[in-house]
Formats: sequence, structure tokens, C-alpha cells
Amino acid sequence: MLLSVAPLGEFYNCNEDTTVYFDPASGDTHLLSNFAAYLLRQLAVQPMDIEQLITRIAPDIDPQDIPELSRHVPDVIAELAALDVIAEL
Amino acid sequence: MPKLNDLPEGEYKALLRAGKLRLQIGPYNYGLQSNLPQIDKGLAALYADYHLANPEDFTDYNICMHHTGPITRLRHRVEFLFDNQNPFGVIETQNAYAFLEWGMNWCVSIHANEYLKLHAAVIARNGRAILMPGIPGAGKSTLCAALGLSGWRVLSDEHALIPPGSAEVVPLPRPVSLKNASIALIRGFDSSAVLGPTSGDTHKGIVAHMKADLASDSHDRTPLPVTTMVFPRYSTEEPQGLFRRSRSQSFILAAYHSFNYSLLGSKGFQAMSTLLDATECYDLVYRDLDWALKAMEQLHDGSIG
Repeated sequence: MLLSVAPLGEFYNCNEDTTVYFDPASGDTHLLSNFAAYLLRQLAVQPMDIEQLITRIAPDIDPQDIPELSRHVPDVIAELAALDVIAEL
Repeated sequence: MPKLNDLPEGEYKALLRAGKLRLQIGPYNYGLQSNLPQIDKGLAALYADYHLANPEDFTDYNICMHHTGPITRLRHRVEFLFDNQNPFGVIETQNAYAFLEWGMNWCVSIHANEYLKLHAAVIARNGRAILMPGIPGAGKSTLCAALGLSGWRVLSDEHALIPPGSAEVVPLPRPVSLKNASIALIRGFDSSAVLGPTSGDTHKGIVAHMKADLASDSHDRTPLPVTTMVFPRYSTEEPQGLFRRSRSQSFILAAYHSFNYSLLGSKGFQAMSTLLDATECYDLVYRDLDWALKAMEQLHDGSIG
């Protein structure tokens, strides 16, 4: 199942471990982990399923962290879906 | 422009009865009308040093608090009118003054969307402003009153008006609303504090307002830079302390304390971002007022935090 972000909203981050995200579709503002905000930006580039998303971000990740990351990404995606900031196509 | 206390008492009351008393309060002009003695006394005590608005200028908020006739007078009921509309229904006469102040706040709360508005007390020293957002009961007004009585300038007890795109706050100086135990606490803190009429049976309990335009520049309308945001919390159960908090978490909490963040949409997000970029954020947990004052002074001086 493809996941998408449209339109991508606005981010506020001042070098902390959380990011504020404004979702223009709902007008809601959310506090996200920086990793969740990073995934959101990736999904805004083009719709992807979770496997494609992990493949896309893998070059940015320490190889030894990829197994753990693969387990973690679906949970973060579920949280973003619960916030209605991503859509399933 | 002359001040309210420059008016002879007879002229003051005549203007108030006729709805021609107009006061300049921060960026706004209020037109006021009343036939109630407690409003006479309250305004005279708490707004004595406010400038009369220029008669040529636009009146932003026309307010009337009055008995509508002999029946309502006998029933001890009054009504609050904003532009001749009654948004609150009947009000007990004994609570008229508190409702006048709340009504004046309400006008700004539901209008004035040219600003990002936070529900916050605002105080300043040496030209630098500190915002203190908080839910009712958090202790922000008590702290604000004590700071005002200790040499700080009170820019507002209710609204922080932030022009979008700036990290500044527009002064909206108003009396500080004290409730229940805070009234005696502030009277004990400084016996010279000027308090208006006491409203004894409101949904918030006993309420009295304190004259807060005590600084020489209280009515200067120039916006001041905001350097700090403090979220005060009165608690007898938690240890006192001043704790740094993250800007992103403070962003969310400040948005929660805003009257119109959501209404402004993307513009509100950008306005809050600009404000937070310039602002150090703290939680202040206190139960001892003197300790809290010292903490605020040290925070302002840069000796803690």
C-alpha cells in the first residue's frame, strides 16, 4: 500500500529532538519526533510503501541500525496515519 | 491627551452615563457607558491614569454595563452590551464590575485577529518582555500582580498581542484579575495595592481587580521585544523550580494557550515560529511568591537559567 503526503506542511525545528509540524490539510499542529518528521519529508517526495521507504532512507542510516529501523518504521508510520498527516493510496 | 483623573467627578459621571467616556487602552479605544455606582468607582480607581481617547479617533469597542430599567434594578440584574448586543445574558448586579472587565477582555479575545493572541500575562523590565501563558488558576495573575508591585511593568494580565512576523508584544495594560485567596495575598504583599470593587459570587469565586499601570511608561504603546516565555504553575505539591523547556514543546503549549492560533492557520504557525525563535522558555513551579519574584529577577538578570 502506497503512503503519501499531500500537501506537505510546515516544520519548526530549532535543533531539538522534536519538530513541530503544521498540517495545512487539517489546520492541526503536531509535535513529532525528528525521525517522524524526516519520514514525512521523504513521503512528500513521492508516494511509497513501507519497504520502499526503508530502502530510500537506508543510505542515511548506519547499516547496523537497519534491522531495528525496519521494525521501527511501521510504528512511526502508524502514528503518522493516526494523526491523519499521511494518506494511504 | 488628558487622563481620566483629570476629569471633574461630575463630568466623568456625565460622560459615563451618556456613553461618551472613551479610554485609550493599548492599541484600542474603548467607549464606555454605565449607570452603576460600582462601575463609577471601579473605573475611577483602576483607570485613573488612562488617557482619554481623542474624540476624532475610531472607537474599537463600544461597551455598556447597565440596569435596563426599574424591574432589573429591583431584581439586582444588569446587562453587558457590546455594540448594543447582549452576549452574556443577565448578570447579578454585585458581579457587574468583574463582568465589565471580563467583557472588555472578551472584546479583544474574539476580535483583534491582526495579532497572534496568547492567553498570557506580560511583564517587562528594562525594555524586555516576558510572556507568562497559563490556564486560569495557574497563578499567572498573582505573580503578575506581585511583579507589578515590585517595579516590573505590566503590559497585560490576559492578552499577549504578537504582530505576526515579529518577536514583539504590543502592550495592552489592564488591571490584574485576582481571585479568591490571591486577593488577601496581594493585599498582604503590598498594602498600597489599589483594588477595585469586589465581586463576591462569580463562576470564578470572589474576584477583585488590581490597578496595574504603576510604571512610568505603562501607557507607552511601543511594542517591546519578547525574550522569554515562562509557564507559571502554582503548586503546593511539587518542588519549586525554574526549569528550561524545549522550544518545540513550548510551541505546542503556547498554541494551546492562544485565542486564535488555529484561526490564523499557516500565518499563526509562522507567527509562533518567529516568536519562539527569539524566546527562551521555562516552567516556573512555585508556592512561595517571594521565591518566585526572586527567580524571575534572576532569570531577567541572566544569573540563572
